[in-house]
Amino acid sequence: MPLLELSGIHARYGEMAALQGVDLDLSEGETLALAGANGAGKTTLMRLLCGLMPPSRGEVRVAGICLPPGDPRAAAAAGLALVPEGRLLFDSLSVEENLMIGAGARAGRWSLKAIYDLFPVLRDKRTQPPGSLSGGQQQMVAIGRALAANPAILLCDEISLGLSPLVTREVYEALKSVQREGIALIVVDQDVSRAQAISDRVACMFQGRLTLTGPAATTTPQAMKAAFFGDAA
Amino acid sequence: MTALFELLLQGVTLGGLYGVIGAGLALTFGVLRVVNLSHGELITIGAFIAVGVTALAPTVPVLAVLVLACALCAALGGLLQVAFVERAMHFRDPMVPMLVTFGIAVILRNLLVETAGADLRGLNVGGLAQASLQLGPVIIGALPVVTLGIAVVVFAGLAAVIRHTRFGREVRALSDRPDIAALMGIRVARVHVKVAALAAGLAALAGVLLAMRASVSPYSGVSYLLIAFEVVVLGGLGSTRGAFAAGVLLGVTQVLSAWWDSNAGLLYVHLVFFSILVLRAMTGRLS
Repeated sequence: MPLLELSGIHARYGEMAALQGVDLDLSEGETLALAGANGAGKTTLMRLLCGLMPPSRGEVRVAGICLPPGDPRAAAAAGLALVPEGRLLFDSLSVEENLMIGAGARAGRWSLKAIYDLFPVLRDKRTQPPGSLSGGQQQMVAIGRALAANPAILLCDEISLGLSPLVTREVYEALKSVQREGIALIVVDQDVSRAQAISDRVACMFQGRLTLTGPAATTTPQAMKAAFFGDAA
Repeated sequence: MTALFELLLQGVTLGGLYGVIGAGLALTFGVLRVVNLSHGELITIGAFIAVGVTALAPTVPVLAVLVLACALCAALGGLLQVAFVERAMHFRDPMVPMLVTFGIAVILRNLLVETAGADLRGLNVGGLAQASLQLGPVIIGALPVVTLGIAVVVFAGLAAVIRHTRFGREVRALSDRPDIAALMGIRVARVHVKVAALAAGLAALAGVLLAMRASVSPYSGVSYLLIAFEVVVLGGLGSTRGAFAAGVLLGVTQVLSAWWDSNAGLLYVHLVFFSILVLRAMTGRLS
């Protein structure tokens, strides 16, 4: 049984259809790179998965159990955690408070110490407000904050947005450590090839539909490009 | 010079009270994003509970009366949040919860008139009302000093709770990013109820302190709400620390202007508020 199953997911923003019948699954410990142009529906899918918006049709199952629509607490308890696009850290909280705020949703190995071991640079910044950190360090806090909830599935939206190549490499190294802990990942990144390099499978969206899913190792850039512009491979 | 110092001291003590008047509204706006138009009525209800309890049981100490009024008002605030405001917050339009609190204000005001009458009431605090303290050459009333002391303790306590407790962290997170806070597993509706109860408790505290100094009528809520708005806007939307500072500024303004023009009432307070708004608008720092 897959860890995550989406069947016939539709979502709307008022009159506009953002997702139109998305079917997708993810196995335990699997990593999926999700690609697509701006407005293809990637962020909507991420928001929907973690309960920030309800589907207009369809259902999301985690370990076979249907998630109540639009309930972020239930999604967190089921093991879904989001590293949102733009980090969206709590500015009034210190780095450590940001990391602690989501702790306790589930039991697991991601204690404060484990997060500091993954991102040692944050240990010295623990009392600082996140706004005083560099973009890369802020992304580390965002990843750490999501890990503190001990997720089974980590959703990373635009993971390298605004980061330098050096910092992006660091962030991806951290994601590999997360993979080694058996956590499933869905990674959205404008740099598709980088996300593909750490993934087991790739998927591509166009105008709210999945236009491609396939093994990361054998999906060619040509097939990705065709799916990116809406031509099914 | 001594007279000026006395006036400043009086202004600061009054300002502490104004800060308490605004604190609950600041909290409600900062965390719930709701402009609570029933805040003034919660202040008057707090005052009337204290007056009523003192009339029924004159031997009950003032401090116990104050705690009881705050607790009852906090329960009322939490109940109103669960029954009406939280439901109204599900609408995207912020006008909906604001209008709901307007409706609540009208109902509470009329319920108060029906049950307690429209007369002005004050809280008898015995000798404390006339007592004074001598600090060197400066003489100041004991009651205003006690009021300021309570305000300082309340603001320090509030700051400690917001800074050091799990509830405080949740409040700050919700105030920053409500949607992401929900993702972190925070029980948003439960925090909302606690905040509404805390704000109503602070309103009751302000009401009791006001009733110790002056007379209160069921219709006083609107004028308190105006003060509360000025405190919240000057102090920064949602900032309780700013509310205290703004309260002190307005209190000092009122006392100094009363010395200058004894018939001015709150005129100069409103003028100072308006001037600061204009100044902020000119420098592009309205929000």
